[in-house]
Order: sequence, then structure tokens, then C-alpha cells
Amino acid sequence: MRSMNIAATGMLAQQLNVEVISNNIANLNTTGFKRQRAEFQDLIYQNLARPGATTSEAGTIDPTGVQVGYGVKTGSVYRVTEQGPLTRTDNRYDLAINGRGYFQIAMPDGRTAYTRAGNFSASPTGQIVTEDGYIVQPEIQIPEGALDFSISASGQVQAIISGQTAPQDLGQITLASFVNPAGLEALGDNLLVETAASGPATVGNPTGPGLGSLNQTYVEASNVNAVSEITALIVAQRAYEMNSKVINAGDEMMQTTSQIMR
Amino acid sequence: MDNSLLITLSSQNALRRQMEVAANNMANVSTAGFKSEAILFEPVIRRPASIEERPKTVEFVRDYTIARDFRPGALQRTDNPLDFALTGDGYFTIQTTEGNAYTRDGQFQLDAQGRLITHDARFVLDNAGQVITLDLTQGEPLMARDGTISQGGNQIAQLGLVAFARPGAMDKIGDNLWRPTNEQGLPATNTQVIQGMTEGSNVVAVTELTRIMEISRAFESATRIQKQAEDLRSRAIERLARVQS
Repeated sequence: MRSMNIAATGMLAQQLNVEVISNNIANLNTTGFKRQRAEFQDLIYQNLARPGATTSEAGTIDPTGVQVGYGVKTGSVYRVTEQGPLTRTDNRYDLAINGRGYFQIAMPDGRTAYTRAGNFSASPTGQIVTEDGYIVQPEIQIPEGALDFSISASGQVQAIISGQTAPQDLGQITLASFVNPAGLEALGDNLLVETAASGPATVGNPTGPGLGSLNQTYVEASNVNAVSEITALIVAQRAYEMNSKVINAGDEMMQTTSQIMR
Repeated sequence: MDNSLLITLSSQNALRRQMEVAANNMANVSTAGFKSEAILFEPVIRRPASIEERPKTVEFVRDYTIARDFRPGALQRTDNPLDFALTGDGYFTIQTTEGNAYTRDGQFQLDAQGRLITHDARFVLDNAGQVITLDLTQGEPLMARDGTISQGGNQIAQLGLVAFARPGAMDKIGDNLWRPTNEQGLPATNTQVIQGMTEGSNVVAVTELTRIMEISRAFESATRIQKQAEDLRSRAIERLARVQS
């Protein structure tokens, strides 16, 4: 009974769909999180009668043929890199990117990771670091005597040092951008790494060509929309249920067949 | 008696295949741009297995073709600039290793070189049959209703939108792709592209589930007829044997 296998592919697809949606909902309050979406494709078709096959000696052809599909598969789980809303926090170390680009983070293993989550803080030595203590690249050191520091929209960091009238330049925060940001690989902890699909990182100053601007004292909230996720969850759950009914119906057909035998 | 068994067998075979098609529709209830299908039946009139019996001809059933429902699927807003939905009867042109294929699934992505691809990394082609390359540093790509993509005020390319005179004769090759048979596509005239939306599957789950119940019951009644014919036969053998002795 192939219909049962076909319905099983449908159930598997919907199961993955529910998994992706539940991960989105779980990250409703994760800073810089980008929602994901499962995309499906139909499987190959078996041609029982090929369209266009000759049906008589007079040259008439079968207009459609009989093609029976084998079900569904997951094409990809796509990360939607839509801008998340900016939320004001009044924390001097919080940074949000409005537009394209990623912060560069030095990982302990030497690799560079990328993130949209700009809820940074200071290390014991005054560097700007992520929540996990990884240093934000290029390294910015806030001196000990700094009363306040500011980060401009284009990424310039300046500090006001006690006893000095002019603000002191501390450096420039740069952003990395990718041709295909959806191709970045998620590592967890809000971090992403470069892959062959994303293309190499292009580093530039914020507000430069193709890059967004920085907003100090803001963080970018998750771009998950709770209402649409819940709706999608209900649809996925019902679709799962209906595919299970198809398996039931296929089972019943087999059962009636087996009941003829005595 | 042989006739009733053979006729119900032909109907069981047809119903089983109809069930497979319905199951495939149901499995693709969330596949973007999927078009639902139904199997059509025709009677096949043949002479009965045993010619002494009446009627002189019997009708078997055969599934002779598939009917596709080309009604548009529901459009869903995604706000993703690389999602495109089509209205009208056009198709996007996709490059495959075996020539061009066509799809209604407009959930596209960019590859590492900025070329527009489907989610299984096949190139989306423009109206000149060329690969479309976008440069996201030039700003968000904007898609006009006629399929013209522009970035930063400059026109980049125009999507190759194609329509077919006989869409029902197209071959489905999986991965949401279609290929025409004995036909060249023409530029689609009544098709519009909507950016930030996707076309869902046009499978109506309720209808499909009703059909599945119907198939299941029809299969059951065909099986019941077989059982009755079988009972009749075994009773006949029993009775005849009694007369002989």
C-alpha cells in the first residue's frame, strides 16, 4: 500500500514544520534571532502512462498521462533575515544594527563568528564582549577613567575621560556582510559562521554601501511574529493529523482485503 | 462468477491508485505552488470471461489519465524580499541539467555569488535565458508586477515568465518542477509577480479527506462483492457435490 508511505512522508514533513515553528516560538525573546521557515518540495513522480504517449495507430496522444507522486520532502529550512524591531534598553553597551550586516566575534577556537545580537557588556579589562565573554572584533578597549562612551551610527567609538575636555577616539566598530546571509550556519548562542553558501564576509564601516547603521542603547529583538507562528503551528498540526488519517484509510483498505481470506 | 471477481479487481486496482494520488495531495498540503491532482476513470468494455453468461459484455474500470487542478493556491504574506508569488497562469523558468523546467514555487534565495536560485540551488532565469545576479549592497531588490527586478533605481533583469497552451499535458518531475511535453512555452501575458508573498498549495484538505473516505468505502464495498461472489461459489460447489452423491 504505497498510499501509506506517501502519507508518512507528509507526516514527517509536518513534524519538521512543527519543530521549526516551535524553535521560532521558543526564541520569541531572543535578541537578534531570525525566524526560520521549512520549505517543501514534491518527490519524484512515477510515470504509469507518460504524457504525450501515443494511444492509437491514428496518432492520437495521451493528453496528461498517469503520474503518481511519491509524497513530499523538505527542500530547505530557510532563515528569513528580515529586520527585527529595535528595543530601547538604555544600556550603554547595547548595540543594534538597523539594516544589513553582522557584528564580528572572535571565538575561543580562533574562528570568527557573526551575530546580530548586540547585547554586549564589558570584560574585566574593559573590552567590549558578548554575553559569553567573547571579544567583539575589532577590539575596543574602554579605558578605566572613562566617564561615558558613545558609539556613532557609523561605528565610531569615543570616550569622555575625566579631566579631559575633548573626547578620546577609541576605535571603529566594523560590520561584516554576506551575499547570501541565509546561507550562514547557526552555531547556537546567537552565533553564525561563514559557509560556502553564504560567500565570504565583506567588512566595512556601518552606514557604508550595503550596510546598516548602529544604534547605541538599543537591541534588535527577535523577528518572530507570535501570531503568524501560532497560526502556522495550528495549520501544521492539522495537516499532520490529516496525513495520519490517510494512513488509517490505507490500513482499512488492507484490512478489508485480508478479511476475504478465510 | 469469475466476471464479478475480475470486475471488482479492476475497480480495486483503480481505487488503490486513486488513493495514492489523494495521499500525495495530502502529503503536499504545505508545498508551495503545488497543484492538486485527481485520477479520471473510464469504462473498458470487454467480453465476459465466460461467454455463456449474460450480459454479453462487461465493463471494467481503468484509470486513463490525471486531471490537474490549476486554480491558484492561497497567497501568504512572508515579507521576505526574495519570495515571489504568481497570479495568472505563468511559470518561473528554472535551469536544470536537462534543459529548462518551470515552477510556481517562488521561494528563491541567493547563492554565494549573488545569483538567484531555488532552494535546491537551481538557477532562476530571466526572459533572455540568463542567470540573474543581484548585488545586495545596492539595496533591496524590488520586483515590479511585470517581473522586472530593479535595485537602487536600475533595472537588473526581467524574470522569464512563461505560459503554456496545454498546462495539463506537462510532466511533473518532482522538486516542484514541471516540464512541458511537445510544446514551447510562450511569454506569459496575464501573469503578475507579487513580491514578499508565496503561493501555497491549492490542495483543499477537507475535500481531500472526504475523497479518501469515499475511496476507502468504495474499496470496502468492492471487496464485499468479491466476498459474496466467493461465498456463492463455495455454496454452489457444496450443493452440486450433494446432488452428485
